[in-house]
Amino acid sequence: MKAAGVTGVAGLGGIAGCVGMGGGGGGGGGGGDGNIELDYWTLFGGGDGEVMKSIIDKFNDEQPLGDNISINRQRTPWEEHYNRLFTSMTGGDPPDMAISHASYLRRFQDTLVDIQDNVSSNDYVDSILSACQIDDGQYAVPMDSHPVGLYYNVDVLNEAGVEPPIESYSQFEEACNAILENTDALPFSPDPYWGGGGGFRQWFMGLNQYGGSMFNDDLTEATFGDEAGTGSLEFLASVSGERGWDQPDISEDRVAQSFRNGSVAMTVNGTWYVNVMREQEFEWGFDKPRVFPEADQLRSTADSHTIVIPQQSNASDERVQAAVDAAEWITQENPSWGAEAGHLPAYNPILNSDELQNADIWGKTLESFMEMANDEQLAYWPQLPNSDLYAGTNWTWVTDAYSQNSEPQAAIEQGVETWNSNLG
Amino acid sequence: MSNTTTSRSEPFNIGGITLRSALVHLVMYGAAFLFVVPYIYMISTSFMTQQDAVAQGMNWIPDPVTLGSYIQLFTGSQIIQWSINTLIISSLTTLLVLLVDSMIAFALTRLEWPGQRYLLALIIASFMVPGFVNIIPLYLVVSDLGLLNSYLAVILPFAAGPLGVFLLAQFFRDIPYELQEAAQLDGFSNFRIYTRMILPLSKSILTALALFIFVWSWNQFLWPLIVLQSEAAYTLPIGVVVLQDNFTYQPALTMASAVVASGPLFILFLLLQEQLMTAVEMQGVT
Repeated sequence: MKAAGVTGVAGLGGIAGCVGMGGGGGGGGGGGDGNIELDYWTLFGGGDGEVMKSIIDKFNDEQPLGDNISINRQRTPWEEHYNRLFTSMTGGDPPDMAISHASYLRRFQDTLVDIQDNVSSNDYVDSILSACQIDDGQYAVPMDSHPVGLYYNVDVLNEAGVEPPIESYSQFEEACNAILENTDALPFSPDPYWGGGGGFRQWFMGLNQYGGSMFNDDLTEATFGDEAGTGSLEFLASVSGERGWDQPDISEDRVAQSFRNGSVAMTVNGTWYVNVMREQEFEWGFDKPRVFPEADQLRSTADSHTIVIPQQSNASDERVQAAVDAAEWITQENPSWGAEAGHLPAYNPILNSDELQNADIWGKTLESFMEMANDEQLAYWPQLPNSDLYAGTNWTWVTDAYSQNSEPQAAIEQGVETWNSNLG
Repeated sequence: MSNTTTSRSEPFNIGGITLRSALVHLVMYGAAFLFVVPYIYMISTSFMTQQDAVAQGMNWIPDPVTLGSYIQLFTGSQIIQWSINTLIISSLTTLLVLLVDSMIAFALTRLEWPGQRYLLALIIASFMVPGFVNIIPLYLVVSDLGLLNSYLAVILPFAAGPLGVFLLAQFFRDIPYELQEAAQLDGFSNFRIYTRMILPLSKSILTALALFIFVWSWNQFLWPLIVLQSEAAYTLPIGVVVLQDNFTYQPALTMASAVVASGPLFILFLLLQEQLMTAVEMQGVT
């Protein structure tokens, strides 16, 4: 309704349009006429953005919480989502609901509503739910888990004489060397998103596969300057260095483009990549990410999307409860978040439902992700109280090593220094 | 002697075109072409299919030509609404800056009143404060005024920039005071001097300032993103970034949105280029 109002006002093009464009932040109490429109900020674009849009459209059509409650979904650019959310929470006029990665929850804890007494069910995957529970409170409704795995172009593999699946590092290495020898394609780039700080998910995966940890238990000191952290970075640097499997070129979109046009054969990416893969003309395949040599264990970097309820100074209890109910409906009633968007749902009844397990995507990616989750092979990011985990500036040392501008040992030392200064 | 010199330096000439002239044109057109290359690539890619746009190598000619990205853009996003929002915000900001800043500059340079030098110094000193420092205090002010998510939330802070006052004060100061004294002897009020004398004489600098402010407010990203919280209220630069999914590389769609976002500015520049050039020649600004 508010969006329609905006169109009308803006269409007039007059100064009258300057005031009251509606929508936006909090909106305060329950509304004089008993109607509640919940503002909901998301950061999803592309394929999962479309699925989230369809979920909210369904909510507004079916009105499961009564005909007086609707959701006004607002999409923000991924890179600005947290800046904008943080500014609005500091300024006291945030949305009713917002998407937050589980890794950011401790950072935002003071500005979020403790919804422990508002939730109706906690039948979520334990590890994801526990990430939402901090200091005896619950600060988010879990939505999914999104680990990473190995995606490959089956056509290029076949051209090189390689038959998938790839179930061990030695098979992976043989595949890379065969592709290098028998095709024009580059065998493997660890990340499709280089540019401003790529490769960190894959480095963290290697760190965990070698049994290392990023920080100490108190989250006061970086502990990855050891053999595990260095070994992970040395391997990544060798991919673009002595192994010659990729170019030491960290230009933005280079690999995103090359993987889609078949000039890079394999890459490691998250659950969300299925939306891109579906549109490709080549046959694609997926396996668990066994890409680090002599790894101690299989691990995949994971984070979770959750729905948080930011504190609003003037929000009524009724409004907060409506926001929690809506968040639960989104996470508990929509298998499409897994079946179509490709993420691993956090709500157990959906995760174990026939609808999800009969979906095309199940056999392709989700079953492997689920096995890794069941085998406790997902390495979640630590929840830092004061640092911006995904800020590209915290990870330039990974790209420095990958582009062969720094020796891995020097890059790791730089990384330890960067993170120690962040933690301090 | 002079004849000999002339004949020695006689330029190479074919059909009235000298070699020097040909070389100058070649270099100038070559340089101009280099500037145009990214725009050609942008326009060309916007007419490609998604698969062609991610194909290997540099593909300059779309084959087949498709309007798919534009159709996706106009049917699947609110880009028309974003364009209207941007146009309203940029136009009103520009009008407000021209009106308010010219009055301030007039008062600071053509009228006598105590403390005017300190006020000018204060305005110019505000150049030294980085914009980011103001974001949270400004957000609190805008929020307290209840302006969040309205055009005014963007327009008012933009209109309060020091640049216009600084530029206009410099220019107004150079207008001869004798003209003003003659007008005063003829009984002109300050308001008439401002409207009938100063403003007409400052047409070129006002045009340059207008163009600069219009382009600047058209391209603003962070502040509008923070205060315009409804997707329907976004401006084009925010919309273009929203359409670029970080995790899905879609060059054809991105380029189509860039064409739509930059097209109006290009047309505006063509319309105002004469005045802009005059102002640049006079002031060396923008």
